[in-house]
Amino acid sequence: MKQWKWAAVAAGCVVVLAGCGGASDGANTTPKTIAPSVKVFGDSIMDSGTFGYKFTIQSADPANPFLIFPEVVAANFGVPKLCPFFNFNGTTFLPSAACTSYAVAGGRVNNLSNTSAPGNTLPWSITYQMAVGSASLAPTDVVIIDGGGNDLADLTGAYLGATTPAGIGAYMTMLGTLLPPATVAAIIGTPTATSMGTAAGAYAQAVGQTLAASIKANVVAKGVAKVVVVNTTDITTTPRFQAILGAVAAASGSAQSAAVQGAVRAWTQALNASLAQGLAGTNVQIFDLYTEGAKITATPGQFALTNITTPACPKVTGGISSVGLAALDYGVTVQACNSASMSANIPVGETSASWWKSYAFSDQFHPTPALHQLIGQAINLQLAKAGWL
Amino acid sequence: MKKTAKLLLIPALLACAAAAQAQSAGTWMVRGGGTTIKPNVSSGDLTAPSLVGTKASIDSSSRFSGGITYMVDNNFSIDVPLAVPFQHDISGDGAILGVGKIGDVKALPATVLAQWRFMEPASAFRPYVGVGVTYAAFYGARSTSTLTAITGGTPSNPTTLSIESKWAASVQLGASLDIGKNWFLDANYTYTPLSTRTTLSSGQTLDAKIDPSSFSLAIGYKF
Repeated sequence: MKQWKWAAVAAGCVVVLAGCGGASDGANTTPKTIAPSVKVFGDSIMDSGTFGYKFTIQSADPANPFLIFPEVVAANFGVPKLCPFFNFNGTTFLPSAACTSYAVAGGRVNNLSNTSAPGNTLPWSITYQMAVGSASLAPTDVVIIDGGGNDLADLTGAYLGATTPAGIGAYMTMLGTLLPPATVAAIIGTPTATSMGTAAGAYAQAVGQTLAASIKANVVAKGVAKVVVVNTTDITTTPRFQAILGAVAAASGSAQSAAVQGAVRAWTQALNASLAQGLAGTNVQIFDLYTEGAKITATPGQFALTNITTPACPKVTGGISSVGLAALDYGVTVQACNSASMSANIPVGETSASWWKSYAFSDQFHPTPALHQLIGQAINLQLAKAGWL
Repeated sequence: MKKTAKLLLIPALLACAAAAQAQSAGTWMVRGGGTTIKPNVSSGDLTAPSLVGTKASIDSSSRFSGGITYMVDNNFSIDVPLAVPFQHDISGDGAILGVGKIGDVKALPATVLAQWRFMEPASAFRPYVGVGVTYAAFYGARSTSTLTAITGGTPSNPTTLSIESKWAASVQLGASLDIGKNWFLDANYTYTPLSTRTTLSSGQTLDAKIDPSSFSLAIGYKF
C-alpha cells in the first residue's frame, strides 16, 4: 500500500511539473537582419505620404497608421517607420533628408508619358528618384523598388484612344518618348490593332529595360547587398481596368474586351520579362507580384478576402469624388475612406463592422491595408527563404 | 523451442554469473539515461490568410531522462518515465519550406504505463510491452522574427504561437538486461498517437498529427 502511494506521488510530480512548466509563450522580436535604413523607390503603392497620406484606407487612429507593404517589409528589418523624402506642398516637392521613402504616387519609369507632369527630372520619375537617392545609399541598406504599373496604364489608355488619325498620332508620339520614333513607325507601318499592339509590347519591354538599367546604375553599382524589386502586377484585375474592359465590351463586344485584356497582360509580362532579364546576374531579389497577385485573384478565400472586385471607399458617403471616381487622388475620397467611417457605415450586403478588412481594393487602383499586408508577408516569405529575414 | 532457448541464453551469458536480483512482485526499479523524442509530423495547412500548403515540421529533441518502475506482481509493472523538459524546434514546411526555424516549444510528456514483463522474474533478459496514458504538456512556445515576418506581423506587433496540450494513449516495447546483482540496462520505444492544434496570435490555426516516437536508453538499479 505504501509503495502504491509512492508511485502515485511520482506520477503526480510529473503532472505538476508539466502543469507549471514556467515559461509562457512569447516571441523573439529581434530581426534576423537589422538594416540601418530601408530605401524605397516607386509609385503610389509604395508611397509613404508624399501628398500627406498613403494611397489606401486611412487609419482613424493616427498613432497606429496602417502599413503599406514596403513598411511591412521595413519593419521586419528593424526600421519601424518610413517617411516620404519628397513632400508635396501643393506646388512643389520639398525634400526631407531624414526620410528614406522616395516613392511618389503617380511614379512612372518613363515619366514623359505623364500628361499632367511630363519629365524625367521630376520626383514622378522613378529613375529620377533613384538618381537622387543613390548618393546616400550604403551597402548595408535594404532597397525596395517597384515601377511600371502607371506606365502600363498610360500605354493602355493611349492604345485604346488610337482609333482616329489624331489618336494614332498621339499614340505614336507617346511611344516615341521612349522608343526611337523611327522604330515605332517601322513596327506600326500601316496602323492596325495588331501592329499597334506589337509596338505596345516593344514599349513595355523598353520600360522594363529602362528600369533595370537604372536599378543597376543607381543601386546595384553602389554595392547594396539587399535589393528587392517588385514587378508589375496584372493591372487588368483592378476595378479601374475592369471598368475599362466593361466599357470596351459594351461598345465592341466581349471578344474585343478579352482581346484588350490579353494584350495588356502580354505587355505586362513583356515588361516583367525584360526587367528580370536586365537584372539577371545581379543579387537582386525579384518579387513576382504578377504571379503572387494571380494566386490571390484565383483563391481570395485562402487569403481571407471576400471581395476582390469592388473598391471599398465608394461604399461610404463621400467615397466617390465630385468627378464620379473612387480615387485616392481626391481629398474628399481620402477623408471619407478611413477605418472609423467604414466601420460605422456597414454597406448593404455586408454584416460586420470589419467588412472593409476583407476587401482587396480601397479605391479603383489601390490595395486595402489587408492586401498590403498580404503582399508584405509574401515578400517577407521570399526574403526569409533567401535567409534575409 | 530449442531455438528460443538458445536465443535466451545470449543475454543470460551477457549477464553476470552471479545471481541477479529478480524482477519479482514488490521490486522497485529506478533508472537514469537519455531519451530522444522524434515527432512524426503530418502537418495540416495553416488557415487563411495563408499560402496554400503552409505547413510546419517539428524537430527531434534529446534530454536526460529516467524513470521509476514498481513490480505489482512477477509480470505486471507500473512505470513512470521522468525527464527534464524537451525543447523542439519548429520549422516551416510545405509552401514555407526553406524559411528555417519559426519557433520552438518546450514539451513535457507525463506518462504512466502498465507493463507486462515476459519471462521468469529471475531471467536476466526480460522484454516487455506497455500501454499507458500520456499528458503532453506544451508550454513556453517562442516564435522567431521569421514567423512574425511571414505572417504580416512586425517586431512591435509580433506573431506568437501556442500549442495545445493534449491527453493521448501510449504504447511501448522494451527490454531490460541484468548487468550485475542489482544493475540492469533498459531500452524502450514508446509511440504516442497525438494530434494537436497550434494557434497563432493572428487567430490562424494549424492542426497537425505529431505522433512522437521516443527512444530511451537507461541504466537502472533494483531494490
